[in-house]
Amino acid sequence: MTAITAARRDTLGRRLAGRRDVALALGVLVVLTLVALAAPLIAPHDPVDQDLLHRLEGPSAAHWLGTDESGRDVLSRLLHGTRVSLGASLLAVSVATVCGVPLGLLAGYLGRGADLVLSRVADALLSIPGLVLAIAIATALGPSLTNAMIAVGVVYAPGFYRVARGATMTVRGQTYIQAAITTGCSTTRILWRHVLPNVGTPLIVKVFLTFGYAILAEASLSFLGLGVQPPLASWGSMLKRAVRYLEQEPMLVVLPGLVILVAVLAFNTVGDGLRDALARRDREPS
Amino acid sequence: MSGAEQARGGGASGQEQRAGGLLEARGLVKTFGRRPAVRDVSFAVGAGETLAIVGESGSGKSTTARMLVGLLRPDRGQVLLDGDDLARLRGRALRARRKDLQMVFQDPLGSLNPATRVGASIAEPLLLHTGLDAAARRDRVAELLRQVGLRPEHADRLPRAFSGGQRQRIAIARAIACGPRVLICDEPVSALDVSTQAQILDLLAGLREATGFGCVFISHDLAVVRLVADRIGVMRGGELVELGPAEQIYTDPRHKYTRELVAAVPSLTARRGSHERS
Amino acid sequence: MTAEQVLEVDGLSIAAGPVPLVHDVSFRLRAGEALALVGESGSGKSMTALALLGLLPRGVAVTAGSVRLLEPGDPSPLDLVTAGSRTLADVRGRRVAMVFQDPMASLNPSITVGEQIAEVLRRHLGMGRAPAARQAVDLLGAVGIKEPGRRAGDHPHTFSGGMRQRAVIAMALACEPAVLIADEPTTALDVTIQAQILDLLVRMQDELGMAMLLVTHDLGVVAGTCHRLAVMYAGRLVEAGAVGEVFDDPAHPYTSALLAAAPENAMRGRKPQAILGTVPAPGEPPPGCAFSSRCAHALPDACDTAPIELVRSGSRSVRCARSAELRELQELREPAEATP
Repeated sequence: MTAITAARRDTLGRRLAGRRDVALALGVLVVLTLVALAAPLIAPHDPVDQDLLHRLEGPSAAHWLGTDESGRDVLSRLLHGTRVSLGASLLAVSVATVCGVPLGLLAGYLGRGADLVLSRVADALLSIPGLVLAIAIATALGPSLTNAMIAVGVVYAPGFYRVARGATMTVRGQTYIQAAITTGCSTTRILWRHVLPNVGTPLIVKVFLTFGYAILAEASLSFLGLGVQPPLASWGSMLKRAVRYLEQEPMLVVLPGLVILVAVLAFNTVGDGLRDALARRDREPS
Repeated sequence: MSGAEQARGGGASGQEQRAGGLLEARGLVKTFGRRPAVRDVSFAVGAGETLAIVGESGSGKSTTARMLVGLLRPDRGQVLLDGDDLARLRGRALRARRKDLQMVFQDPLGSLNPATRVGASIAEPLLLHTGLDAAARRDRVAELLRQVGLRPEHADRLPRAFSGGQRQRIAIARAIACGPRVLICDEPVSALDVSTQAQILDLLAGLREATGFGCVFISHDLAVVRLVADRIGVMRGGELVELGPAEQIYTDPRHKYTRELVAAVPSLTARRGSHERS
Repeated sequence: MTAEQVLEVDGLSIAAGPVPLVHDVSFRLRAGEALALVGESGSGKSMTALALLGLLPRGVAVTAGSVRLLEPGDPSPLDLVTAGSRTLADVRGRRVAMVFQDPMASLNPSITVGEQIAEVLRRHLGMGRAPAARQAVDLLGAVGIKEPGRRAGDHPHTFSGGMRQRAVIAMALACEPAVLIADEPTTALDVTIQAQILDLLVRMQDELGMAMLLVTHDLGVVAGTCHRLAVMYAGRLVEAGAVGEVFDDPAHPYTSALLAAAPENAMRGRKPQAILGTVPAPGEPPPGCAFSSRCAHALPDACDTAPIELVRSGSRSVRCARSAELRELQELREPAEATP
């Protein structure tokens, strides 16, 4: 049965690219990332430059997507908002990863007491509605996007903890971990060199799926006024201000809403695609 | 059998009289829950000697092997390496001592980290136990790969690029990297094709000859250990029911269970009656 | 008096996409006969066995050949390669049964052993609930399970490995199939249990008069269990014949090397001889004999340039360019000391 694996040794990347929806979603993510990095270079106007003489105007040669209630260029605000929204989501996902993964590795590897204590804490965190906890933390720390997204990261940490712990528990029983012990590796070295590289793939899937949620969380918090503070723009804060002018200029709501939808969909599609591709690979006889 | 074989057999029975060996198990006991897995097992292995522990599943042979290398702590009893009780060692001191006591596992794919190139796997003990720098480690890995019948350029590949027999060679290269005094082999050929088994057994015998390590060879198969063992211990239900020179186990088994085991080895000369005549 | 043929495999070829795994394999099975299909991993023996019942994994398919299931008096035998899934489902377990290496994988862990056997009887033979349950207990007794009445109500996890395989055999034999395919049935078992299970298979085969195809890598298992054997290497049959003839006088260097590599040789004071090198990867078949790169007797030009044909003479067949001269020189027999 080794025969088949050897014969069809195609890479994960090739497999992902084979699915059209996943390829498209990956393309969207690449574009969004480039936009976030290059926003100051490609934005036609300063996103906070007000022009009260041209408020709530429709698309024109000067303002391709029109202007908002303060006469600011909507396209430029969307481009800069991409930077803010993705940056904020990245922060939340990073916090969740840094808090959740090492603890998950430790709990999964050591088992017993450490696992019991850490898992109870994770369960407690999970039992609180995520956004409510984030709002509570953000209120306590003061309204700033950084604080809010750190809070979101803490809320997502148990998810990473669980994935890391579960994957580690499977890996722990593998012979190569025992081989590492008999070779004389310390626990830190075993976790870092032998466990982490083999639990990486489910964690990457988790990162993509969580990124989608983080974008929604950022939008929600900013919509509630707990996120990005004016005059800076994120997709969520644009939505919040635009709702007031829904009847006069519906495009102001539709545009950021659409961008959020596309971004979240893209992250989820790539995450799902990765998971399916990995599941197929694992099912195959080795 | 060759003269050397005979000589080894003689030496083995001499060693049995000795009080201790290089590696000694003294009264090992291990119980899982309420089920006793190993009850009061004692034996010793000398330098350059191979002791085979033979038994079926549930006999406690693998549990014994895991206690020998310190993957499991015995409930009672001691594992002595050069007279030092391994169970007394903890942390850094225990890890340092592991270099003298290495293990080869049954599943040659499972015992190699699938995400690590084989060169790095083989170099790991060198990194942990020797002061060799990166270049010296690379040279040593190349030498080890050659020693186990592979090529130095294999170091850059991942385990899945190799066949079962080649993977077992890699695992052996890792186990002998730091020149262990004792090698514990837990069913090292039972996951391999018949045509490859003899290759690996030859390799192990050659390495033992060259480096003089003592060897504990765990197996379920009396035929496999026939040519590698100086002495054989037969385990059943957690007990060592018989321990003696290899030749005697085959020709004059004392315990009833040993006789059953010897009889169960399939014979290549057995024939089934023709169905057409029956 | 030749027993009637029950299974006829003709020119069977199997491939995973563009990669050929099994090439042009043919053999016959007669009632009451046990044929061993022998080879190393990657030889294609398991794929061949799986193909007989349409059980090939996804992405692997039969590309040529036929598998005919014959029945006395049936003028148009059923071809299992072209048969639809419903026909196959009806054949499996009723006319052709299979026993796999891992008995736990063949048993449903949440249903009692007795119920699982009874279910086969009810589905294939249309038996009622009570008679099926009684028959299941009888079957468990027949395969050597003590206190079958009580054990029938137990779940598989309470059985030992050997007992599980007995239960799987009971389930396979429930409908008294014409053919039993056993794929490495004892590889996962202990040595003493292995001997018991092989004895059981031989006994049941004699009692039911069915044909058996035993797929194994272990020649020690073949010796006392099978009447004939077919040796596969790199997806092709390289030698076939009666067990006694092939073991005593192998016609292919690979068969000879396999015999010399068997660990059981050590029990007769012979050192098992390793076969050097490795099996060629599928998809990269050498132009000539696939074994030539590992063969001690291979000659340039004669062995490694053109495909070697399978040559039949009587009940033996062999695929080797040098077989005749090597046998003449007694190069392929094991060194004297004569077998009994």
